[in-house]
Amino acid sequence: MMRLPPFQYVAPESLEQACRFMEEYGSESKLMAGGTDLVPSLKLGNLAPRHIVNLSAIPHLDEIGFDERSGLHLGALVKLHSLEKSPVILEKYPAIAQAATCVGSPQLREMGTVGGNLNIETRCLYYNQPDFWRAFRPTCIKMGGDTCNAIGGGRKCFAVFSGDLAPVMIALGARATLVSAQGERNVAVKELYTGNGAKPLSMKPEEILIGIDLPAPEKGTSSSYSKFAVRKAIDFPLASVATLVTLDGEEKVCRAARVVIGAVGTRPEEVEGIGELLEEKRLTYELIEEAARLAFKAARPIANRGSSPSYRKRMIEVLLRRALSSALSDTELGKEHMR
Amino acid sequence: MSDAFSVIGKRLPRIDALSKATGEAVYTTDINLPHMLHGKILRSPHPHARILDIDTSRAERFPGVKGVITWKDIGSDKKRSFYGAIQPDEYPFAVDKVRFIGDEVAAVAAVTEECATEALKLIRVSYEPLPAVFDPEEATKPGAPQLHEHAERNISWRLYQDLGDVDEGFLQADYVREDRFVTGLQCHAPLEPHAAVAQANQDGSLTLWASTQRPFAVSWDLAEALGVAPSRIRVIKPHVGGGFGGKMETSAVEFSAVYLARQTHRPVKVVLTREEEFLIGRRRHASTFHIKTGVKRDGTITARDCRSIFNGGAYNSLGIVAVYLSALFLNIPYRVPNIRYEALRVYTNNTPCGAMRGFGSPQTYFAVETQLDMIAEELGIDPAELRIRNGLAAGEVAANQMKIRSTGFAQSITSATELTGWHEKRKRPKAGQGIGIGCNAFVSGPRLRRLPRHTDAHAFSATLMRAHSDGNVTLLTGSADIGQGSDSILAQIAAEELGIPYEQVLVVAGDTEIAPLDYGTYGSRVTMMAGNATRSAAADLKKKILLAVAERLEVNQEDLHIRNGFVGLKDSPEVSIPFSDAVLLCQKKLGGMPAIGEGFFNPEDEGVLDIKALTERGVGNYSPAYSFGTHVTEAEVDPDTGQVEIRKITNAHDCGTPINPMAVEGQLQGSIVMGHAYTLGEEVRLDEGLMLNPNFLEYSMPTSLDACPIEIKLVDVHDPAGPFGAKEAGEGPIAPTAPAIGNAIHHATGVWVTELPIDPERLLQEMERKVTSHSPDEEEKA
Amino acid sequence: MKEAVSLRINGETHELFIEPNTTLLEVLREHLGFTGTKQACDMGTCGACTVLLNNRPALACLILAVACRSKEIVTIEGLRKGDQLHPLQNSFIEQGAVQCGMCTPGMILSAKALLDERPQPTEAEVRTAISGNLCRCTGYTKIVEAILAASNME
Repeated sequence: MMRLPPFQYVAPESLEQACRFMEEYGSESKLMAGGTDLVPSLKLGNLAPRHIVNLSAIPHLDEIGFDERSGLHLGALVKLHSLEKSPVILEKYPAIAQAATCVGSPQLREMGTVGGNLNIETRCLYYNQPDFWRAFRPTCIKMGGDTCNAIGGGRKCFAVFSGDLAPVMIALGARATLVSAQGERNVAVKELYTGNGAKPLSMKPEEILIGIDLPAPEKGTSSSYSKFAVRKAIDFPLASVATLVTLDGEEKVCRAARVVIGAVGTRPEEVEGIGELLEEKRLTYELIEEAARLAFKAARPIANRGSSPSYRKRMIEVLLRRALSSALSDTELGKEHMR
Repeated sequence: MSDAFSVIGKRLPRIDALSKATGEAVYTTDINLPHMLHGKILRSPHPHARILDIDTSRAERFPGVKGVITWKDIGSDKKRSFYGAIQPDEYPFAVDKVRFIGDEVAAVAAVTEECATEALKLIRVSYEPLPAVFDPEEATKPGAPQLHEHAERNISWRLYQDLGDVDEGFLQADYVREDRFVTGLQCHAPLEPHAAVAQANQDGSLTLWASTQRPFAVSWDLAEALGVAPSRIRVIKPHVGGGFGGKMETSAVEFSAVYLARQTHRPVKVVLTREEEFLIGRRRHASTFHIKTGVKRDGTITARDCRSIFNGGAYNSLGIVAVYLSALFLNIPYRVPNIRYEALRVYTNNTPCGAMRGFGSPQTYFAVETQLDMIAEELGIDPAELRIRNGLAAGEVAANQMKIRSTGFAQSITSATELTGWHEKRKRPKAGQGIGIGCNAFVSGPRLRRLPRHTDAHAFSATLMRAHSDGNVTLLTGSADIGQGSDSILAQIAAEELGIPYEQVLVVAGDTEIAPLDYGTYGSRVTMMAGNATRSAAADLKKKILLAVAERLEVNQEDLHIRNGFVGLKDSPEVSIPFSDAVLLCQKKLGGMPAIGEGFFNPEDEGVLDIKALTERGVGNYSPAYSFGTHVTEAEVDPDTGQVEIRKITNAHDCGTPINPMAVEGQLQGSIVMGHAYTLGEEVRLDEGLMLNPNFLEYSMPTSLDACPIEIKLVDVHDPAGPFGAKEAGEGPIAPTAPAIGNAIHHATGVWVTELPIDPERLLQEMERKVTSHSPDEEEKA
Repeated sequence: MKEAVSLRINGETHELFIEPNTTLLEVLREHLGFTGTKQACDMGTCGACTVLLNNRPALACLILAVACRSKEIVTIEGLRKGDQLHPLQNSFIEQGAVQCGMCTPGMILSAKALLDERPQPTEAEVRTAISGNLCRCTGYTKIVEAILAASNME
């Protein structure tokens, strides 16, 4: 059995208690909810925090609320399993349910939370390995060394952000509420990610993510999440695409379009130029092809996950083409309307 | 056939299913003994290096550490602990060189796993790194780094088979083609990793619980290494969480536990982590096959010339067996009157490759079966028909002397094609869908005494059966149920032969102190060999019991039978003595001696099998009986992603008489899914000899959502050699999986699959090439 | 530093004194002798250590024991009621869904969680429910059949 490094364990029963603790010890602490990303990291020796702060006992952080005016509120401790089952999410934000269904396995969806999934560490074949294996190679940048093992001689870290929820949250314009002893701040979910593979999360050491808010969906808006992986369960994505498209009337004029690609970079990336390409135009298969090409160009994976970078780029293109085609034809994501 | 039996052919639950379903079943990993220590193994970080010095002093002083061992502690005569089938080349711990990343260098026993893991870091090994080679073709070139002194050009084994007149055979051919096929590595990945718990007693005797496929082989290896009589070494096989060929050898795990137990005078448990299991588990060989086959216009094979290279990794392990088995698989199920085959197994600085379910057949049949479809297409012959035409018939002998006694080969093809609507689907496939066929043959255990250092005096398998006066019978067998269900099969065989209910047979297995010898689980030998030994023991017991009853009733023994646990007269239903009473009568007659039946099995003419001919030339009647099978696979390829979706695999398998159809189906299904994964998902990613995906997350073993739909049809063709006519069922069906999938993909897309695992990106590129270019085939046909 | 932890397992309370960095799996197997919960990867990727936590499936190797206070934990040993096996246990036995048996405890518990929530699942739902439980022996076919058979038994 793999031994976790020793730590002090605290389970605050109020947000205030948690913030006070984090104010003092945040820089040596890791927050825990389901533990499904943290505990493996501890076992592999990737992390060795002095304190682990279990947020699960804090009340009111696991609520799902919706109203037409303020939209959807998701507490950070909402389980992924609840996202799959919530009637309001299935009806109004199906992409969130789709993304949640994609995560790992039933057990991981029972244990994992919204906050946890948004804050998973970036991944790399050379990093997510036990101690004894990593000793076979020089210490990499993400482990505090000065070399990248995935790219021989590389000086930057390219560890991949592979969470399923983040691309959807960004595409839907979600905002995150972060609290600390200093108060509260509200940022676009996009701002949670630094793009630095070694230090991918922008939350300050003393901060705690407590909730996510999404605007109410506009009429004619559809959203989707699609994931590419080798297997149909357990796997992290090798490429993923989240879309938000608002189509108007019979002519299917695109009023708004957003595409966020995931698992092909150090953070989820909003594909630039999609708005200019598609908005205020009739959505056609030709435009969809162009959009897919834009996404393809925006994807910059390297060989640090299973599957070749060229193939993962190609899958980004395929996923987006299918997602937009299904938005156009108003059908379930399928292959019928390709080429 | 099966209606004639009362227990054989019935879908009975396994005798150990209850204990497994309640969590009661004990595996080696579950065993904890008082004062037990935990052992951990130190491994080489280099693919190739000289060991200059090993300093264990700091580890020895670490609080909590009770024992440390290196090669110096493995017996005073190193030669006694030199291992490897056919050609030993390995010690349990590296002596002067390490030859792959993960090679065992030392081991530590400490009061906790954590302590042992920390202590490993304190062992200082000075290495002089040497140049390493990973590609087998590179390894045979002059100037390549030399792994073993005895192996020139790093050739671990060369087999050369030359039968008939190959050149003449090609002259007779109307069509000849030559193709190249490449196959990849596969890991066993059993859910229970390697594990051993050793307890050394003061008197020099030893008890070892091990997650092993071959408890007797382990006891002999240890006896040899320790210089102790084998009977003083008790190896117990608890429930095993899968082996698939990976637990056939006595490995560093068992050696570490044993030597540390002897050094510390405390029980020691060694369990591999999942990452270690992937990293150093002896894999299925990657291979390259160049195969040239000549056929007449009607598809009859006239000649075959084949060359293969098996990437052996750093040591022999059981790898040489896979190589000579491949020579056998080139000779069945088809008639190949003239054949030349050169196989090279090459040392490289990779993890050693050894035995894995199918044992050389997945590689070989991928080449043979894909090429057969290429030939069929070229000649305009239906691929199923082509195979039936060339199939060896019952009574025939293959060019390499393998005797076909029973064969359901043709039947397996007609069954599978009928069930799937093959002909219609071949002619009129739905858009994007294809249907393909693949066939194979397999062995039911080797007719070969493969334990060179042990005496010849034992049978391949022996069984003792002891009847109790309560009506139960204890079956003592040295065979090893590793999850495939062999204990239950033996119970069914015993129950049928004796005439008592299945529930009255109690199996005690895999304990070398209690049970008589059996060679273990490999090569699909258990039903054939332990099954026959069991049937023979049951017959012996029945005879003794009937003799006693006959005397008491003053009738002839021949007039008695045992049915459903009652002894009776064949033509007089009023006479009915419960089996328990009959046992008492028997004991009384024997003066109180327990009623024991003895049986054993040796294959007929087994002395005739020449190991040199077999291993160097692939010649000899390897097995008492051969199984045959066909896959008809329906698949489609996603034109955007290149991913292959298997709609269904239909497998018709000739396993002779199925002792337990439910158990056979379970084995076939598992074998097929493993084959499916070998073809499509499982890939060992390597970076200079280091596996990048040594875990269940990145090594893509199928989940329930990935496993393909399977339909099974059992072809019941009685074989005279097997117990009640049974042959193997566990390994055969893995081999046709890859070519049947590949042939289905070809049918759907026009692309031939010649490399495994199938890479969707490359498949897409090939499909695109087909679309954009005008293929020469099309032009020719036009 | 060790702390006192009270755990409810299979309806009984167990008092422990453990370090916080102890997983539930370790407590079950090494401290309390519940070896029915298996360890096959220790990293949450195979499901062999699945237990029920407040009736929902969870991976014991990823859970800190100290985080389980006031939760009802059910292991495979807790499934039978006296002499009576759970219908899933019976159907796994009868349908030939048990081969080496390492995946079996976790598989049965995942299936139980499904049937408790959805007594008449479709095959697709069954396959999804056990998609986090790896099996190397059976190819899943008979496991799915056993779960569907049990759903018809209840």
